[in-house]
Amino acid sequence: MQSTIVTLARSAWKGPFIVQIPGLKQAHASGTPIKTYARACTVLPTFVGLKFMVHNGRDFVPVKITEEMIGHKLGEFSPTRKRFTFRKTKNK
Amino acid sequence: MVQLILGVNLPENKIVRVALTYFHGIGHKTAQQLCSKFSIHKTCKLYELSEEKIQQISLELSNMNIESDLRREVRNNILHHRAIGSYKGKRHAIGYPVRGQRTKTNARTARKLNGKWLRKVEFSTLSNPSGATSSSSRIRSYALPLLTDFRPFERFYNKFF
Repeated sequence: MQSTIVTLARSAWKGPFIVQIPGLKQAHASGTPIKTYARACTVLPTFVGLKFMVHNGRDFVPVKITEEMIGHKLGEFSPTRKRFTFRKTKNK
Repeated sequence: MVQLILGVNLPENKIVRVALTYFHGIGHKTAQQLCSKFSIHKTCKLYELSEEKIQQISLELSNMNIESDLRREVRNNILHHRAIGSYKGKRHAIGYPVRGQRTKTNARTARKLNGKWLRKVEFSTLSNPSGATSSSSRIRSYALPLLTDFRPFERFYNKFF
């Protein structure tokens, strides 16, 4: 299943979908999280160990990249929907 | 009236093609292919097979990815998604459909199958199921001996470079 994500999704001659992310080197050195809107960006091997703040439409969700995430997209780790919870109304 | 092949009970009175589908991981197509490979005719029943044929078939089956191997593979794939905290893994854990189907109605299969055993695994290993990244190591040590087989970097590299 994991292999299909990488192998079936996109033809190889195009290469992975990459968004230029500025300041990767500094982030590696300093460990500060990178704020990004690029949810569709593929997690590259160079990202491992970095911290990202991935936009989910409302705010930035912290994502720490591990080796197993390589080949997935950044947006997969930043959920855009909240689970419905029933709240009692205050004034009644 | 039961024939044992590789520890699976197969009904003797059924046609071989049908009886083979009792294995988890063998459907009608694979069963058909097996039958034609060993030249078993269409209406041949399981009890009519010779010992030799049965041995051949069980040898072939033992090299295939079926039953507990297949179950383990599927399970590990799901646990991989859970461990890295991806959207798919979260949908599995909640017990919702994973591939964008509607949940207002239907979603019966997902509610039946997804998540139940997963929640059990997480309950026994995790104190906080939400913190997937921090707890991934703990999941792996308990339930994922095979995650080392994934080698995500190599797969990525082989694909694109």
